[in-house]
This record gives sequence, C-alpha cells and structure tokens, in this order.
Amino acid sequence: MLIGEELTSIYVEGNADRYVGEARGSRSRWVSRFRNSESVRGYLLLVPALLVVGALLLSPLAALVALSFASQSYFDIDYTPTLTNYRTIFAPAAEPVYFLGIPFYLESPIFMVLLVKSILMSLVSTAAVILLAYPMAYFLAFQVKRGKVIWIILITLPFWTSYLLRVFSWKIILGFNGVVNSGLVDLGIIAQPLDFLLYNPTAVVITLAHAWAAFAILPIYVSLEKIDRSLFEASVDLGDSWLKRFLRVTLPLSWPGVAAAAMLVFIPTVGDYVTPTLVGGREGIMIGNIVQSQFGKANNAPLGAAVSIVSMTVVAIGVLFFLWISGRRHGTER
Amino acid sequence: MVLELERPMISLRHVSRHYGPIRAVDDVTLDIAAGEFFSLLGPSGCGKTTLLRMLGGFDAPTFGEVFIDGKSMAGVPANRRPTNMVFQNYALFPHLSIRENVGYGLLNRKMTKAAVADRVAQALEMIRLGHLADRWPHQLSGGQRQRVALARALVCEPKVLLLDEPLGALDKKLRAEMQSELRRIQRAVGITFVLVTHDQEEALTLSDRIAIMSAGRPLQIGDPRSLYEAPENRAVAEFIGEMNFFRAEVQAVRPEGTSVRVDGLGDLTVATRGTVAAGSAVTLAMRPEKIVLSWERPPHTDGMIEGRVVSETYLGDRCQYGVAVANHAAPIRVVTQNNMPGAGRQQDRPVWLDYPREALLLLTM
Repeated sequence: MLIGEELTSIYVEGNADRYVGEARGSRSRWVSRFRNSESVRGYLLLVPALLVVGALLLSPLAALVALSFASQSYFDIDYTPTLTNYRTIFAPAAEPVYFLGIPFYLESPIFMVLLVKSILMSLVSTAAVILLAYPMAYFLAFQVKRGKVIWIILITLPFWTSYLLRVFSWKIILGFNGVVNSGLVDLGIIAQPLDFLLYNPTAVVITLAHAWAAFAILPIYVSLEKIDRSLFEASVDLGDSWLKRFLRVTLPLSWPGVAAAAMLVFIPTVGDYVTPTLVGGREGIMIGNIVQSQFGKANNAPLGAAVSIVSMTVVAIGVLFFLWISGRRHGTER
Repeated sequence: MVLELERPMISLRHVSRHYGPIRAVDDVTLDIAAGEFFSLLGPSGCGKTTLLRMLGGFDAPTFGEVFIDGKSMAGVPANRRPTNMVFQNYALFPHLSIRENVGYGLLNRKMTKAAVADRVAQALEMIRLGHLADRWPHQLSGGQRQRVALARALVCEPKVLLLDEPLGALDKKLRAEMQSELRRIQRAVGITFVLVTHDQEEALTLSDRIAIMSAGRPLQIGDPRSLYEAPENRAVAEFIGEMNFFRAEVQAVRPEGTSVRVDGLGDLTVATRGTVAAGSAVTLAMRPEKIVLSWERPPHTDGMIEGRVVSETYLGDRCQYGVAVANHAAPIRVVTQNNMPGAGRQQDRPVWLDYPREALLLLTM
C-alpha cells in the first residue's frame, strides 16, 4: 500500500506542472513529505524484521499473557478474564514458610520458593561458567598466536551434539555406577560409590555450567581481543604488576563481554527444565519443572502461564537492574 | 662516535636486537646526559623504536647492556624501571577519566590520596587542562590527549621520559604548538627526554642532540646545528634537509685544504675532512640556500657558475630553482627568499650562481 502511494505521488509530481497545476492537493504534499522522511524509509526497510519479531515473539507472548488471565475448569479453559492464577501464586498466609532462612508469607509458597531457588542456582551456574570461561577466553585472546579459528572450533565442538545428550553424559559421569564413582572405587579411594554426586542442585549447577560454557567464552574472547594492546604496555609502564594490570585494565575493559556472557547464560538457565529433570532429582527441581507440569500432568495451563509471566517479570527486572548497575560505570565509554 | 659524558643518565653498550636474521638494532653504543633532550631520528624500520622499547623494558637486547642512572637494566621489567613512556597512540585508558588516567601511576606508590590528588592537579595545571579533569579520553581532541599522555607519564617523576613519535598523529599547526609545549615542559621539569621521530624538523627544533639512525645503527650523533651544517657522510646529508651533491676527484692534499676537481664547478680548494688521498673519488655537498643566485650578469664573474633555470617551485616564503650547469648531470637546486620583486616565471633565463667556499662540504663516504 505504501509503495503504491509512493508510485502515485511520483506520478502526480512528475505531471503536476503540465496537467494538474494548482490542483496538486494537500494529499500529494503529505505523501511527498512522507516519502522524503528518513525515519519512514528506515521503518520500511525494517518491516520484514518487525514482522518476524511480531509473529514469532510478540504474539506468543501476548497469547501467554492472555492465557494467564484465563482459568481451567476440568478439561476446558475458561477465557473469562480472572486473577485466580495470580491469587494462587501470591495468596498471603499468616504463618511463614522458610526457605534458606527467607520467610515466605504465602498460602502456596512453592512457586515463589522455586523461583528464588532457580534464580540462585542459575546465578551460581552463571558465576561458575564465567570463572571457567574467562581463563579460556584469556588464553585464546592473548596466548594463542596462530590458528585461533581452530581453537574456536574446538571450543564449540561439544555443541555439535544435542543439549540432551550433553546432559545425559553428565549422568554417566556422576551416576552411581558412573565414571567418577567407578574410578574412585577402582583406585581404592572409596569403598562404596558416592550417592551424593547425582540428583541434587550441585549436579544441576555442574551440568548447566558445562552446557553453557561456550556461550560465555565467545563474548568474553571478543571483548578481550578488542582491547588495545598498548594499554597493557602503558599499565606496566606506569608500575602495574601482572595482577594489578589485570584488575585495573584487562577486567574493566572486558567487562562488557563478561556482562553479555552473564546475560546469555543466566536468562536461559533460570527457566531450564531439562537439566533439573535429568540430573536434579527431587532436590534439584526448578521453576521450569513447575511450569512444565502445569501444562502437562497437572493440567492447569493458565496457572502455568501465570507462573511463567511472574518468573519472566522477575528475571527481566533483575537483568535490567544488572545492566543499569554495570552501565552506570561503563556506559560513558567509547 | 662515542661521546664520553661526565655522568650519563643512559648508557648503551654494544646493544643489539635481532629478530631472527634481521638486526633491528645493531651494536649501538651511546651515552645520553642527564637532563638532555635526545632524539632518535630515522626512516621507519631503522630500529629507533626498538631502541626506545629496550630503554622502557618492553624489549630486551639480544646482546649488550643498557644502563640507566648507572644501574644495569638487564632483567629489570618495565614496571620497575625509572622510565615512563608516551605512546604513539597515547594509550589513554578509555574506562578512566582524565584525572584517573593522570593519577594511574601514582596509585602504585605509597602516597596518601590527598597527595595523589594534589600531584594530579599540579600536572593537569602544567598541561593547562585542569578544566577537563572529569572528562573522558574520547571527549578530548588529539592534542589534548597527547598532553594528558604526557602528564600521566610525568607525574610519576621518571628519570627518563621516552616519547614514541608522540606528535605523529597531529596536524601541522598543532604539531608546532605541541613542540614548543614539549620543549617548555622539558626545560621546566629537567627530566631526560628520549624522543623517537621520523620528522627531521621536529628533531631539529626540539633536541639538544640527535642520533640519525639507519639500518639499526646511528650514522651520526650531534647537536642539530652540526648535523645540518656538517654532516659526516652522504646518508646523513641526504636525510636532513635538501642537499646538492657533486662528484669530485682529489688532486692534492695540502695543509691549507684539499684541492679537488669538481664536476660542474671546476678546480677548487676545500677544507679537509676525514682521511682523503690524492686521486680518490669523493663527494662534495652544498645546501641549496647557501647559493646566491643573480638574475643579472654581475660585474665580476670569477668563481661563479653560469647556468640556466630549468625548473621553479614556489614554496610561499621561498622559491626553489633548478639550475642546469655545464658538466654536471643533475640541475643544481637553489633556494631564494621571496623578498625581491620581479621573480617568478623565469624559465630558461641565464643566471649566475655564487657560493661561499666553506659551504662546500667534503664527504668521503
């Protein structure tokens, strides 16, 4: 439609002097102003991308929000708008339930307790991933002189297999008859296989940390690679030891990469349910498992949707706060 | 060529730096006095930057030894040397404000916060950028960044300040301004400055002494005047300023001078320099601005050369002419001040060239 209008306006303008004269109306002037506007042209170019974002991102999100205000009545979903699901999640109680010493004054605290637990497990995983990834990225950026591409391919090699298989492999490593246990038993270090390796939050954290490592290595590597090498020489010239140089120059300048890596790992792992299902056991379940069960066995999709929305909102607020904190110091750069 | 100084701040003893088969720095021995403004001048790839980096501790000599203030620098890392460097691209920390950049080195000292703040304020005052202390490096112009880099190095009060082509990225006008600023600051603080540059004008303007480098070695070390007026060899004469060269043959060596037969100039006697033997081929050199050009035939033309103008280059305040003379292949370059009316468009006119005999330099290499 817009393109049609443009063509019309070109036609009108082209012939205006000869045929139309002063009849050239306000519509034509409006169209020509529209056509000459830089921002309109920009949005026109963006249309395909906006359509994809709208169809694949915004509309499912809108559907989820709508679903969270519906309610389940036996086998059917009642779409009359209601706050029942949110009431279920936030219904207050007089007596608190404690989780890690935090009191939850809620009727059914499971949702918020699991959300807090998921966020904590995810934070620990993220921290573990960053601690693992940073030295690797550092090595790749500063020690590897030739064949960086080969190193990058090697780092992404585990990601050529499916996520599920990677999680399963940890089951084999940490299991009762797994690699770690049988190795320790064969070496005579322990008599009985250890049963605390698998099916607990630690196993979930280990698995998540491994599964997401490459997502952290690459952004940190890029940010390290971008640092002007003469800044390192300047720092040493001004009296810094290796450690001081790292703390005063390398780390602050690679901070954008670290922040990006943290985002890339933290956001998806909060909602992960595959890993806790497979290696988490009873102790290691996370908010994603609740959502999954509401949509599945528990047969309460509207409540599942509401839990999703709450979890998404909390994570979004947390992430924005983090970005604001790290942007306050580093946003003025460049 | 080694100048023995009373108490050198920097001593290089047979310093070489080899990269595989390439000798970036090749057996350099020289002394730099305390408080001196010393320049390493040469084309790119002559080893001047490698030499500077070895002083700063960013590179180690393959052979030889570096002494700073009497102490051997062998095995002393850059952060423990009494040197500071001004980097070519300034290397200001983009995540720190100007104030924090300048104070960076002081935080490695045992100083109170107040003392650091004091010194930083003083340094910013010295470079006249006190009002920009809370800006970020990217908000500053090239010249301002340059001055911040200088202040950042100088607040550490090094014994030696190393400058790696510090003015290379600035435009001509700003460069001239920064040159006088550098000279002013160097006189004020009295620190030994070692400057690396490929800009001969910069080296001549700033330095107490200059080492002209080529292929990893200094060709000649001296003060700007002696380098310009009395280059020891053809390479130095060619590198600094413009020069006319004449092929000549030595006729005889006498106490009052050397008699030479010069292509285009005839038989002359010039001051003896270096070791010359009768019958050997030598080169004579003469600066274009030492030659006096007459458009009219002078009353006495003894010892003058008659020629014909073949080219004219207008340089604003000066004019450069190419004058073809008999028996000499290349036209002789002559530079005149544009202080006489009527010059210009003088192609093919006959001219007479006169020159003081001492302007002719005998070069044996």
